[in-house]
Amino acid sequence: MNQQPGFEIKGKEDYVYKLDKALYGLKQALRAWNKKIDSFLVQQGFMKCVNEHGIYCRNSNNKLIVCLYVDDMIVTGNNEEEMKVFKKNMMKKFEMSDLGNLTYFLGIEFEMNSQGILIHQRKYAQDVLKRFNMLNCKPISTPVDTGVKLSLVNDEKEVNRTLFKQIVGSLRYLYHTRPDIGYGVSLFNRYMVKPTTSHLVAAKRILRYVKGTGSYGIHYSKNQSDELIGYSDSDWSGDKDDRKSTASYVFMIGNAAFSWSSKKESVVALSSCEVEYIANSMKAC
Amino acid sequence: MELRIDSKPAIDLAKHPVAHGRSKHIETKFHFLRDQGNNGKLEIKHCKTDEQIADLLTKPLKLSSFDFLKKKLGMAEASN
Repeated sequence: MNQQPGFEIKGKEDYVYKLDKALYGLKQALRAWNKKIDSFLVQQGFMKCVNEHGIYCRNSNNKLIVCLYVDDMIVTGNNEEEMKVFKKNMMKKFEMSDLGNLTYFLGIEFEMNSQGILIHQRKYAQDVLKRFNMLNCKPISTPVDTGVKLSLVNDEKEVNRTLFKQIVGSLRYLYHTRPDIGYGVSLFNRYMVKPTTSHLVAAKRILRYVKGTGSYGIHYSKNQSDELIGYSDSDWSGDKDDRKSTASYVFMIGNAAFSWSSKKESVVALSSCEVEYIANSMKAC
Repeated sequence: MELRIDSKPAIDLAKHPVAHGRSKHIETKFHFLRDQGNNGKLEIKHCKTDEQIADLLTKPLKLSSFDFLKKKLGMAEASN
């Protein structure tokens, strides 16, 4: 680190500081922080999840799960006492505050009631509409028009690429609690290279749909079965440009979806049997 | 775990490997599905097209079926 202006040591102006500790704002600071919290959690008996590096679990008598996002945390478990002890330990080691029950995390809102938990992104949806000046648009009931066939190459006027990408990116985040816009979002992702008027109109249709259904989210009810069921489906050469098919899957626990995806398949399938087969093996992975 | 598909041929292919002309070009990595089915981790089942929830993420739908599947996904409106 360079010497601060006004605090240079006389005669040694070209000297620099050697840091013993990562300082706030350095690119190494993030790593140093993660290392610190990681070692703390491991010392507390937690195991890091191999697939999702922000999740730590402890399986002693009771289960305790910590979800870590940089310096925000969600703590959950099946024993209140143990959660309290863990929070106390955390407070001893770090300066932190307990915000009580989970209500808002990374733009996602959590609503708890007697039947279960509802997660939605109403505030974020409003922000998106405001950002793209669509607050006063006319709502519509479905996100994608059934008749429209989009294509990468057409002779329409090209539109502002940055704007198109911003819309798709914002919708992509909204997709976290809204599988219903999944098909539309994955569809527009394909036209980010050279968006034209028809692509923009179709993308704005999703915004109009979001305007009408902004407060929708997924409801996880308390008394549901914990049966895990996967559904998978695909269309048949849906993309006009390269004749690849779209495959999608949804995983349900009880009667609420918790994992879903809609994606163009990587290979060209020669039969409708093959597309479904590929879609399924995609899901099985 | 249970997998539900609305295509009978795909299920047949996953259960009984037949390598005739129309299926032998399928890339090896996709046969992972059959592997998982054989060792008992997955159970592949048929479901009707109108109950296929993943339809919602695959193609544009009419309002009636769209709303029906949206409810099936567990989507609901926030209260306040």
